[in-house]
Amino acid sequence: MIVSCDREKLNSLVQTALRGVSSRVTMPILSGLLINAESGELVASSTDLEMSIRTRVEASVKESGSTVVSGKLLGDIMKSLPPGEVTVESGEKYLVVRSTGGEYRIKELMPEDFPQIPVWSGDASFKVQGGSFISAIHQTSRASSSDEKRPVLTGSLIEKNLESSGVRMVATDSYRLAWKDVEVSGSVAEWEDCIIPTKTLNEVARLAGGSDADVETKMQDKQAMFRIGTMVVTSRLIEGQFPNYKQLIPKGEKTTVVLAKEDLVAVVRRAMIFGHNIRFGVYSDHLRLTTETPEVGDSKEEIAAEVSGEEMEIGFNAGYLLDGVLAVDTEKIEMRFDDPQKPALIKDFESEEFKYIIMPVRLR
Amino acid sequence: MLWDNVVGHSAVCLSLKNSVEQDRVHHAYLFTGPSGVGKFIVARTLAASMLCPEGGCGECNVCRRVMQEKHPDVRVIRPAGKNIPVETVREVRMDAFMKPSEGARKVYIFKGAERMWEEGASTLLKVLEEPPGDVVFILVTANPAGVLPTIRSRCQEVSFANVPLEQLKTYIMERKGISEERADLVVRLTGGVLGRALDWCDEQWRLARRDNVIKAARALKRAELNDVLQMASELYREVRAPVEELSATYQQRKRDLEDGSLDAGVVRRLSKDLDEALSRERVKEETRGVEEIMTTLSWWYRDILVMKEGGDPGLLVNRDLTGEIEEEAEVIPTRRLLDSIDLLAGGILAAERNVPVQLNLESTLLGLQEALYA
Ligand SMILES: [Zn+2]
Repeated sequence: MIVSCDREKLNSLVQTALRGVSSRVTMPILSGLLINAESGELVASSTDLEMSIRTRVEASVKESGSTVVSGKLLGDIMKSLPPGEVTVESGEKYLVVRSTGGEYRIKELMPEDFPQIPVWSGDASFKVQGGSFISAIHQTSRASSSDEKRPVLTGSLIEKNLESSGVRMVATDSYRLAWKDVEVSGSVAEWEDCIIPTKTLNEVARLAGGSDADVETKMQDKQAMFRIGTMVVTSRLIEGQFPNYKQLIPKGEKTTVVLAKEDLVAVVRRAMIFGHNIRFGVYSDHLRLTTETPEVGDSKEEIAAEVSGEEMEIGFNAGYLLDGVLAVDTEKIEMRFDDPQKPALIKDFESEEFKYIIMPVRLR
Repeated sequence: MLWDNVVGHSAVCLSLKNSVEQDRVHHAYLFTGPSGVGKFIVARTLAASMLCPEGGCGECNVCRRVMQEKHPDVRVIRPAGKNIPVETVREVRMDAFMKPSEGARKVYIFKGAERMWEEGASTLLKVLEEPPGDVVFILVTANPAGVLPTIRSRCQEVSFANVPLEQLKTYIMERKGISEERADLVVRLTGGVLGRALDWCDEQWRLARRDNVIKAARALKRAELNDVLQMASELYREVRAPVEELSATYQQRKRDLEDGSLDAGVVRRLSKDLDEALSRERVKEETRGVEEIMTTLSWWYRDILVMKEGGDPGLLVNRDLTGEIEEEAEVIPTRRLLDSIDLLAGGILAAERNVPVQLNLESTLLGLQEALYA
């Protein structure tokens, strides 16, 4: 393999691919980047077996080929090279990097040992506008579980919604559940509903961040693939049955509360200082939030709100409540209640796109 | 085909091979049988035959990586220290719920599967109760009684018997190019355990050690206390030698890591893993060394007993030492031989319970002297 490319482009290629290298891996080969040069392109790939990244850049390929070298070493040298053209050549044992000043040799690993990474082929099944995909991930991922005892809950469900011809992203840790409907272009008919590790989705959001590029999505070789510009992120899927979330959605017929999101965020943040659980009182024209930690201190604060329906008092875990309120995408927030013993609903005002369901806690 | 490389176990292999070909693979297997008999090799072969498009050709990149433990969809889990930590079992459970990386299936091979605390075992049980679709567990153990019965009942049990002596003899004669006489001796001395027989062929010193051990046993008759202690410390050195060799091998593997292809952080982490593996292997090798010495002695006294009772000379294990066996049979009474064999069984038990090696050897030799000649 002999290939040359501008240092800037090469460095960004390598740094992007490095995002897929985990520091926890047990197989030495996974600390490496797979480098392929073929038909005018240089491709760098990495994987931690759960998620893989494959990214490419145009380059002048004098001789095609492939190799694997330590991602960290390659990344470190690329970062520190002066601007200008860089030539990369793989020989018998070493990958040789040549720049204006110097020549750097990195011992190669065996490319045959590198796990197979699916290569995107054909068309996307659907396309999502980058910004809305990222915000959907941010809005739902907090509700995901990190408890390995229930692997299914460490993932987010991405489900096609044939009525709206969009997809729905759902995450839950069984204490709360977040759902978001996302508009897509293209057809969702080919999409297979699946559970994707939430960790991977967060990484996709990070990688897509800053660019307004569309995120193209498809299912291939039993893996979910996301294409963002010249980069493809592939994720293994979690197997199992996602909870039947539709059953959990409260009707919210007894009481409805509407108020400014920012105001509620501020009140909840102050209340949290004095206790993990909030007593959330709903009265005819205001809310009263109280918390206490015995022998430490307590808080009590009232805030005006439009309330219709019955008055009630309900207990919430403060952190879960805050996550839900923060995830709302509208200036006003809408809350609906059935009963202090039943889950409550937090949602966008006058919109059904985002819903957050929170289980109540027992108050002393 | 990889199946053809397995020595013995033809019925077991045939049935496993058929179940792969007919797509009737179970979710969980329990491979039982004496250690060194070849359970793990069959486990890996089964894994390769499930993932290789040719059913375990032994030539392709899938087969190669499975057999070298480099395939992402085949994971081998070994005890760390004495047990398989619960964290490892949790990781496996998490991983089991992910679809395979490359192939259609994922395989987890647990070596020393009985060595799990309750929490680890119950975590594993939960996965076995509701196994994800494309996952196969192969639990390998020499001690099935140590496996939780509830786990056992979830597994298809496959038992491995020692390879028939004649078959093993022919195999090592061909494979190692040694004489029939020698192959015969090795097979007898290792009790037909394939892995051990191969070790005895590769590691000539094991036979030399047998000679030294028997020489020491014969010298007990006229030995003073100090001589016995001296013998014990020489035998101790014999046990230590392969352990030192093992350390050297690991040092070399650590140096190999530093060939420059990996960055320093990865090297540090892998070195630490190697250190842990070494300390595990050291204990294992030391215990094995003591066991082998005790076993050698047990066979020796048993041979004398056979000779004394007028048994068929074809039954002797140390057939190359028939003359010496005859001499001893003349002078040691039956009762004393039986006591000695009992005493050695106690020594093996002590080794498994990690009684310090030198202490164990000293007390065994002194005990033997007492039992045989007092
Ligand atoms: Zn193969």
